[in-house]
Amino acid sequence: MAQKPVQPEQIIHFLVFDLAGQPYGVNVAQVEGVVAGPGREGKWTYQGQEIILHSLPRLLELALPEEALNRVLLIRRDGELHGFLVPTPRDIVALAVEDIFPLPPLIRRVLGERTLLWGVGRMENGLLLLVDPEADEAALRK
Amino acid sequence: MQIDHEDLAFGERIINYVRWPILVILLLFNNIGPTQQSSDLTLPINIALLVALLMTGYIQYRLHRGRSFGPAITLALAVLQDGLITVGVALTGFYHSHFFIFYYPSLLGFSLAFPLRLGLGYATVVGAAYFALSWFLTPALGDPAIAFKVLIERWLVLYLTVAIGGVLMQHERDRRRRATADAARNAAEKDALYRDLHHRLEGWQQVAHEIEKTTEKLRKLTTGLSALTAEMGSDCATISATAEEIVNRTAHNIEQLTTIGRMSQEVVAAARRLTQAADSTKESSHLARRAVQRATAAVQDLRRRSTAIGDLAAAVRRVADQTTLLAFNASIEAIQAGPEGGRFAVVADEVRQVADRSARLAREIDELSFELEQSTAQVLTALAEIADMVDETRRFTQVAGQASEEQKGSAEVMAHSVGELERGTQETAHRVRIVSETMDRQHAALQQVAVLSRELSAASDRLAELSGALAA
Repeated sequence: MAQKPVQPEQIIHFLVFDLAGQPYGVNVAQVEGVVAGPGREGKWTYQGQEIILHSLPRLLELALPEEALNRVLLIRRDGELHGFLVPTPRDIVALAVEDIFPLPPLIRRVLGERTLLWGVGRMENGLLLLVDPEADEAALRK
Repeated sequence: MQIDHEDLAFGERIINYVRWPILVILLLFNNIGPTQQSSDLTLPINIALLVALLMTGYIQYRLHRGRSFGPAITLALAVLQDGLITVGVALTGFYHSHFFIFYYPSLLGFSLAFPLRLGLGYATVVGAAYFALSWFLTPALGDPAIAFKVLIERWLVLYLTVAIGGVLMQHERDRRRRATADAARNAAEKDALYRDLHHRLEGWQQVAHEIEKTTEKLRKLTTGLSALTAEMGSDCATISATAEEIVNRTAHNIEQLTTIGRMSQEVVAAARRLTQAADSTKESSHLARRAVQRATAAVQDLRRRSTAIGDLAAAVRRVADQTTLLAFNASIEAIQAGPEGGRFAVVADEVRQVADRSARLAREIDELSFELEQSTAQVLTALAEIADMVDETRRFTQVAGQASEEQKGSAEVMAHSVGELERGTQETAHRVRIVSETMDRQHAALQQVAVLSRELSAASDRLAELSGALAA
């Protein structure tokens, strides 16, 4: 089970993507950067380093055309870069910890232990589904 | 000698006609005659004579009414009468009466001769028998000289009676023969007359039949003539009305032709102006063609520039995207830097907003460029169509110019023709007017024919009646 990121402050920033009309947020603290990508999964060389690109919508079991996934979300974990195909970010939002809630147990049981979703953030104009791209380690090794 | 039924009837009539007056005389002289002798038998004798007289009267009455007893009964009655008279007279001595002497032989002989179809010889025998009977019954006849004298007298009377009767009979027969011949001749003449009349009647009937058929044909012809006359009258009226209408329309046509002639002249003038306009249009279309070419070139240049603008907008959008990414990354770095990166995060956020605005502007420019490109494409298409229309207009102008020239010539010819047509129409109107007047006169004549036709129909009916009467 993925660990919930820990922030020293009471404010957490999330990089927001629109996937299938729904905003998804990735903790900025996990993000190495966002760069232009090839638009397809597989091996990709970035700054002389070969990394494997995964489609974040596919991991979230969302139907999204690959040509819309023209950006690569870079995440460094244990000194190793991981790439996720994402659309262009829409925004960066800051949520107070009071506005961040874990997934309800019922939904977690339905989605399973390997889901990338770890919580829900409350924004002024709606809810933000919080994603941990590194949660499914087995998927990242594929 | 053949004796027929008419002979017998004649003899019977003669006998009774002769006997009746003799019996009357005998009855009178039986009482007052010069040789009468008184006797007790006078009364019975007179009664017998009266009975004989009544019998004779009754026979006469029947004969007069056309009814006869027939020859046998007549003979029997005659014998009975004569027998009664003879016996009575003999018993009373009345034999001296010359009437008696002359009467009975002739009467008996005559009576017997005709009914029995006997001749004079038989009359002689009968006379002799009667003489013998008288001889024995009459004492006065004992004298042979007297008896011979009486015999001679009676034979003479008998022969004279028979002779007279024969002459009368012959005369009667001749009369009947002549009457028969006359009747036959009359019948033949009548028959011939009837045949001739019948022949004539047949001829008359045939003539009547022919007259009837002719009358029927005449009636049909009269009826047809009446209908035809009425129809022709109606046609004449229609033709007259039509002719009048034609005259009116012709007058109207003349006015129209006058107008057309004036319009033809105007058409000639218009054709001249049209030719000039066609020339002018030809020049204008040439200029328009050149203008369209220049406009097309300008629009094509505009399209190229629009495409370049689109390319520039795309480049701007790409730059904006890269700027946006840089701004996001800067924001991420600033956030990850903690409180030290706060100011930098604000700058990065501003940069990102600028990049977003640039990207939006680039998209708008791109959209405008695309729309401009579409519009220029439509303008080029329209210019191509305008160029085609200009070419078409030029060709049409050439054709119109040629047509105008031809129209001018045609209009001149038409003006001339209209003048001719106007004169011809006036002549036609004059002739139609003559036709109308002629039809009026013919209509009047047809009305007169209709009157004559009705009179002819009445005559035909009368002829039919006469034919029917003739056939009857």
